[in-house]
Amino acid sequence: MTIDEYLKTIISTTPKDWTVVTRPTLRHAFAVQVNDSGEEERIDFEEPPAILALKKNLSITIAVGTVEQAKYKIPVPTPFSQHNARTLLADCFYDNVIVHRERLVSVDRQHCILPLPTHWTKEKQPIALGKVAFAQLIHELVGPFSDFGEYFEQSGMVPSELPWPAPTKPAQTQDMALPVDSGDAGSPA
Amino acid sequence: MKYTPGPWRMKNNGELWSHARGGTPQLVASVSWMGDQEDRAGNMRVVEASVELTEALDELYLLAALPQVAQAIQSDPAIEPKARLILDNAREILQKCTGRRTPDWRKIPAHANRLTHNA
Repeated sequence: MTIDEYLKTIISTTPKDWTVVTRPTLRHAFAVQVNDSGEEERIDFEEPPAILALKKNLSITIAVGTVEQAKYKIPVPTPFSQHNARTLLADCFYDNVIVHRERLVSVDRQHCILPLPTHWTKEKQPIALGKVAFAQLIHELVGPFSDFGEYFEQSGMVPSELPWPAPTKPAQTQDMALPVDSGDAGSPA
Repeated sequence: MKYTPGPWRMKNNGELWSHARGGTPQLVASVSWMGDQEDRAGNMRVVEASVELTEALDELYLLAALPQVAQAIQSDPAIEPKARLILDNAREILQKCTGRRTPDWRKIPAHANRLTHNA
């Protein structure tokens, strides 16, 4: 299976195709904690809130919900820039090996999980169709009870034909650009 | 309206710190405790948990506002009066905390289940 086939398999599913396993997920990771001077203080365990397993192909699992940036700044005047946002990780596994990392953004005081644009622009945020479908799937499976479509539209995001995952890290062309990694972790064997 | 993300942790000297993931800890406030000594540990926990508490309440309110959940609550006379009190109270607290109007849990339309709108 290639990475494209893998991701296409995921976005062709609906929430009913998945099982959601909550903690304990047995997906613990080390997280270095720093003190107020930015120095390493201790190492904690962290664990994603949920694991998703594709019922028809249990080789495909997603660890979802780990907070990456709790204080993510959506640039002004983008909608939802005046409310708290955080980025979340969706780590995609194939046969227990991580093969893709998708970053999502939880907006409006964590009321909706949306795709994380590679860049924020002053106008519309073009988002690859696959990325939209992926974020919507995650929102519907483990996100708050809010309307993804409504939030997507209000956020100024628009579906586009951009490749997903992005082949290379795009150049930062906008003055509102924020540093965001593409997050691709490789492809399954 | 923004707030410093959680989790918040308070030191014994009354300094309240945000230990938000992805950044260095940030000092939020410095508290001078007054009142009964025996209440301080409890007060400290309440302050520390306030951000996560509000976010959790927010999500619970969204759950209760789901049309099928709201309808189930309202159709059961054994739980409806108490549930109404609890949810109306939750709504008031959310409004107080967020500064935004929170729609009545019984009146959120099914097609647009969005909790808050700008005041």
